Amino acid sequence: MLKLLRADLSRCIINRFFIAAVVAYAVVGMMLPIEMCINNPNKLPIGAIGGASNIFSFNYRMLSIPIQGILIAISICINIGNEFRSGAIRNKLIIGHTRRNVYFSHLLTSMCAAMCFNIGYLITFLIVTLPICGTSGIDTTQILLTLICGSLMMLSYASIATFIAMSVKSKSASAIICSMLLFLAIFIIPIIVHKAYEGEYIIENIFDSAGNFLYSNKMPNPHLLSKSTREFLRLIADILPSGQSYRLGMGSSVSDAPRYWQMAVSSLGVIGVSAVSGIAIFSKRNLK
Amino acid sequence: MEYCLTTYNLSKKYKKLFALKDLTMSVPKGSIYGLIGKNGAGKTTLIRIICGLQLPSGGSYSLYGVPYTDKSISLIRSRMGAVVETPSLFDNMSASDNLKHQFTLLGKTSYDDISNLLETVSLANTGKQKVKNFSLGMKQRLGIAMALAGNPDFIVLDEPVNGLDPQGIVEIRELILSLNRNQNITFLISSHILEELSKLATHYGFMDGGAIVKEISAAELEQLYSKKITIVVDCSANLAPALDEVGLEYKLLADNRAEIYGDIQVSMLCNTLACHGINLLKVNESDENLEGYYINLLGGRGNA
Repeated sequence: MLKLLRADLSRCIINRFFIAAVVAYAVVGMMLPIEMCINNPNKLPIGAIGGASNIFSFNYRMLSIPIQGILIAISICINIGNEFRSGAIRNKLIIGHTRRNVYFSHLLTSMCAAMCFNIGYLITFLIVTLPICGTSGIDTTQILLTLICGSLMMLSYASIATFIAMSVKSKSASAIICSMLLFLAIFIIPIIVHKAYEGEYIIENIFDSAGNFLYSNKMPNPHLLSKSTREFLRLIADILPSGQSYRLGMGSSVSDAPRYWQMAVSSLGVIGVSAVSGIAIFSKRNLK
Repeated sequence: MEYCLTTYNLSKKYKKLFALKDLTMSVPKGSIYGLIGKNGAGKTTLIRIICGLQLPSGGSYSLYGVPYTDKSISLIRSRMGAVVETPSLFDNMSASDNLKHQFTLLGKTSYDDISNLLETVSLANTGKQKVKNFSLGMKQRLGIAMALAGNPDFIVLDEPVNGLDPQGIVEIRELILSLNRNQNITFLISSHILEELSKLATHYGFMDGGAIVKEISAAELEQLYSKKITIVVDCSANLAPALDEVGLEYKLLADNRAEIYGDIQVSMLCNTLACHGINLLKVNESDENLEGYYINLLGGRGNA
């Protein structure tokens, strides 16, 4: 197993796409806090209490959903796809490595790659954000929980991408499938979260003919889903990595704050299920 | 006799199609086993199965006497090397770096043997040249070097000379013969090029319809086809006593025609027949070879 892991990691670190993606992601992690501070000085005041925490949460949401998962998925798919194309996976089996070890080695390599993205982003983010916002008022617990959940979410992204790459075999096909699933999840998750956390009442503001505000009318939400359906949707949002990143980004901006422990357990569940399914499929697969 | 590989009623089914059906064969240790069969006979499927890339649908096989279902089969596989279809190489790396990667996979801590391996396959002067710039023959030789990295005593090669130029074919042949003779490495080779295989193989397995139709050693095959003549005489009456007198093994094909086996001195045969009043009208030396044997055996259907 260690032989495989050493060989796979040595291949991964010379993967040009991987290196470029880590660098690009780190640069984005550095640029966005600056951009946000410049464009939204009122919402995220420089030096304000909690500024760093808010930027951190917001960035995790903004960056995690559109960039992080896609980069990880494509990077993993290219790496594993190359292994299939070159016959490297075939070679590993021929010289006596078991399929389970081959799969695990790729999974761990993918997870290491995902953590490289995460750490690269965090380092550049902290380098830029802390001098601007300072450390006063930082909610350490929130940041720590966000970090743990975020890291687990990244690992679950890696696990899903490994599952798809090891099952589909063609690097272009697996990259397309991963990206499409991710885009689909990105577009569906806001709808799911919105439906799951919709209020029981809606406020209707009444204006006169001149457009002046008269009064507010509180009325039951006609589109409110049943409690069990909302709970189910919340569970989905917590299980799906894209849902988790969206929820993490919410911070305490909604009444129902992120359920960190549930997210962590969900991520571990996603990792476990995708790994076990991946091994089961890969073990029975006919390789050429 | 010790065997590197034995299969028993091995079968492989893809949906409704049997790629292998009750295949039974044995590869003796130290041999060069040539696997011959037309397209779709199941050669590559067999190789994929014994290399652990696919699982059989039925039957069994064992490597060095260890069944494939045994947990220790992975350990046994580490004594194997293989080049299945195309060599498993990273195009963007040099020959040396590819071997380093292979050494890492094998858990070797020292890279000292790499230069020897490159020397063995005549790639020592490739330096930092990337594999993508290699010729087909160079890639094939590097593939064999990769297979040799684990010091195997059993190597499986699927169509090793496919697409090679004549020089490349000679190089691969000499490499295989040298490894077999000097390091006693057993080879299982599938090839379409029967003439080339006949220069290498010590044993043959003829495949058709997913099964081994015939297993025969090169020595047995040589006995069968190379020492046989067919004679035609003018008088049939004394032919049998005359041939008995010479002491040769023969078979009468017709009144005036016979097949004679063994080392035959034609002049002596001619004299003996003349003594019995028989004139020798025609002598045909058998020109049958591996290809002829294959055609006779499998009825010449399809291509080898």
